[in-house]
Amino acid sequence: MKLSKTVFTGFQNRLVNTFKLRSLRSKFMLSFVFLSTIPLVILAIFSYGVYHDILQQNIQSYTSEVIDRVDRNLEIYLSDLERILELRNDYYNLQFIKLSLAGDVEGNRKFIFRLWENLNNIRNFKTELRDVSITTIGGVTVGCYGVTHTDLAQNVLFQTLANRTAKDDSIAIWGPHPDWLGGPVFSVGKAIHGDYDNFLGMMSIDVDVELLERICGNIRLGKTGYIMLLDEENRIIYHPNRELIGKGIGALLGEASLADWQQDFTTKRRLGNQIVRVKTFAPANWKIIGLSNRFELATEMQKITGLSLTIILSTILVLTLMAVYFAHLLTNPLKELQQSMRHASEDLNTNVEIHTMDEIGELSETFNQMLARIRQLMKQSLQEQEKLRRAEMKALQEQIKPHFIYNTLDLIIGLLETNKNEDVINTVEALGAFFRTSLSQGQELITIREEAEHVRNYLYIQRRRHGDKYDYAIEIEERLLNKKTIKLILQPLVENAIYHGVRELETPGGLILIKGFLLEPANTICFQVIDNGAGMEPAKMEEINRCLRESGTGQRYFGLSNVNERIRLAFGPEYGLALSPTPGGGVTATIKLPVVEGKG
Amino acid sequence: MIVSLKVARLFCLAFLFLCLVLNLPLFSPDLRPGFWMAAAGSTSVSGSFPPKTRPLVIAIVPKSLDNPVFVDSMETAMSTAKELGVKLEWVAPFKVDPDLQVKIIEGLIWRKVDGIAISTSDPEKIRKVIDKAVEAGIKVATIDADCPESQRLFYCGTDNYKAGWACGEAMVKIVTERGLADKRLKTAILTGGIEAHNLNERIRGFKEAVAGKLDLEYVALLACDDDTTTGAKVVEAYIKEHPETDLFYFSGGWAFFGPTESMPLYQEWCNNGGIAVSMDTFYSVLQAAKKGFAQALVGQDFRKMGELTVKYLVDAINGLPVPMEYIDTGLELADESNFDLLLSQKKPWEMK
Repeated sequence: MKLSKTVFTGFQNRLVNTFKLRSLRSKFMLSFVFLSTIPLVILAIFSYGVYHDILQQNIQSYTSEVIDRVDRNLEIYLSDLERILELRNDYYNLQFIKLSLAGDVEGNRKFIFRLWENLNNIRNFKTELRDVSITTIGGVTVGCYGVTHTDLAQNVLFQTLANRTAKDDSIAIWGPHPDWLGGPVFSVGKAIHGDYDNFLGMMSIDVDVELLERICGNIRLGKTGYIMLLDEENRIIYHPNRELIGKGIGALLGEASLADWQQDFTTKRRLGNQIVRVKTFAPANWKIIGLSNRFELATEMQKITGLSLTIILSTILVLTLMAVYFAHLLTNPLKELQQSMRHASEDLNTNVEIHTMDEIGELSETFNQMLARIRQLMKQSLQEQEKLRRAEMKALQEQIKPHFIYNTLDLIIGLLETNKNEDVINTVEALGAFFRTSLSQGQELITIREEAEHVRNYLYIQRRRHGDKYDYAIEIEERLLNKKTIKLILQPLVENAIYHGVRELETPGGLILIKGFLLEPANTICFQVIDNGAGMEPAKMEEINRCLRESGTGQRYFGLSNVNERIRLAFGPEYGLALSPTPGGGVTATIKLPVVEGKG
Repeated sequence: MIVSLKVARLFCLAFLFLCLVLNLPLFSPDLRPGFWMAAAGSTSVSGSFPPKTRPLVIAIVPKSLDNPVFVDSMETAMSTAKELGVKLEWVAPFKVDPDLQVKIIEGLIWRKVDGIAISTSDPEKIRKVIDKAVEAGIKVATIDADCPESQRLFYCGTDNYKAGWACGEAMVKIVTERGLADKRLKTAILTGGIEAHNLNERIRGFKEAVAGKLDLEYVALLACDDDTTTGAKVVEAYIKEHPETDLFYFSGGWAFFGPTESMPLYQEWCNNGGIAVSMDTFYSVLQAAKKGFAQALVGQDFRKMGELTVKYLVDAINGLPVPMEYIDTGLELADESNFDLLLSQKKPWEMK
């Protein structure tokens, strides 16, 4: 299994390398051509074999049919002659024989004249009949040409009939042999018997061998195949080439080939590539031989092969062209899509202009939708980034309010005047740390520790300025200190808590509590800036909360909105800021943030 | 197994060779079948037939088989042949056909018969084949109808010129007796074959016999190819078209061989004074003449023709001299005075 997989992979690689199948188009074309051609070639090979067999069978069956036809024609002809020979017992025939045997020449004049007329009339029935005659056992023959003498010992037909019993009424055939005019004929005869079944002579018909030419001459087995006839001594009695008539068949086909030609329809294949079929014409014991040329079969097959190859090659050519066309049809949209995508990778404003109704069309549509979505998201992202930057800038501007700096500097001057150098140092350090965190090297995200430190510095400076009017505490869970948050979110809340909360108290005792803890079930970090200051009208608080929920309405309550907006831009609308009254008075600002792990 | 097959094959070959050697004499030229040679080309005359150990075979070739005038000759020829111990063949085309007659004679030459007697239907065509037969060593004679300028040994038959002359003389006698000798008379002639030498001789004899004695206008020469039915038919048709004809000369009696009832117009013409003289004195011709179909007849002796032809031909084959080249078998004259006598002496053919 592994081996076959390896071999298959190797083949696949070789195929890919050989045909440089790197494009979908070439793969499609090659697959199409292969898939179309292989069945075609298999079909052609299979058809070739089947056609060859069928052709050979057809040749054999056609030859057999032709031989049968020759056999049938000869039989029909023979049966016609047999019917004619039934006239042998005609009164005039018998009288002629009797008087002839009795030597009554004068008495026979009446019958002999009548016989000449009758026999000539019979002969005229068929053009191939050369003579119709009556031969007596005295050797006298009366026929169409008069009266002749027959050497009975030499007359095979007569001897055959004479040696038969009276009950054997069948015909006998002799020949071909020369008739008394020297022409080639074959003779068909029947015995004539007297009143006591005594053999008196015979009636015979000499048939010109031209008959065989008429029966067999027009028959062609293919272009060069033919029919020939052999007599019982295997001499050729009919052959299209007249020069071969009279010769032994051995000279033509080889003596050895005659051995098993006794059965009907023997088929032999000779070295000369001739298919030979033989049938015995039983009444005369002749052999009807059909010879077909196998070269013609080969020629026919060559034609078929040529035709098949032409069809296959033409089909392959057409298929290849079709494959090119279809590949073009199929891969062109893909190519367009590919180019569009490549273009889109550089310019997202591009659209794919493919409007086919197929999968590629759908893919293009989807791709266009995707591009539109990307464009929208990018635009949104850019807008949000822009908004965030603006928010940060504003936050920064908020942080670096001049009067905060002037006040802090006034504080530092006052401390210097009172020689509180230690406090000056602490304040300046706090201020420096405060601005360092504000800027934080342009980073958006800082650790909660840094954010806590930032707000602690701010509170330190503000408390120095405002005296002991309020106190503050920062309680942030230790485990949160290394988590990340966006910067500068606590300071604006603490500033609000100071200026709108604890500073408004008429008596000292204000407290600002900054808590940071993890809400376990929601895995959310929660900061709370809690003051016990003057508090806020519920309606106002409600209005502020509404403004915070409806993002983008941050023209009022800028400090809170800025914090809320930045949180939501950075982490999503589920996070942000909300205000609530502190039990016992004051305001609690609550921030929810996701847990963002810091580095290390 | 292979060794035994080889031995068997060798044995078979040796046996076949032995058979071939033993059978070689059987394939002597005389017995070699000529068919295969004939099949390859035209009928050959170079083939031979059995050697002379067999009885002599002579063949008589009349113009046709369907002409009954030769029946008497055949009878006497066969009887004579039987007496002389020779075999006689009587062969001819069924109807007059010079080309077929030539073929038949060529067949006889090929079979190497010892003698042939021919009644020449067309001298031009037969002459060559007669010469061919003579060159092949066959004794050839002519019977009934000669073939002048051929190499035939002798002619046995009627002196046809004389026969025609006799007919002419008979015609002169009858016309003169009827007082018509000074009139110009329209005369029609019936012959067998236009080319037949014997018939043409008869016509020549007839014309020369009447010349200067009668004023005859020869208006028609009708031919019937020696066919009895045709003979009666053409005469009847002619008389129908030309009843004004005065005389009729029949160079052969074909028209009267059959029943005379088939010639009513001719009979009417005769009853109206038509004069006819005919060759042949066969029984049926005599019967017709007695009914008025002809006023005079000149007969041939066909029996003598058959007898003498066979006799002299056998003599010639046996190397004996033939008394003369022209053997005249004589004439038999008949008119109203002896019709009954001759009828009593002859017998009908009764062939149909």
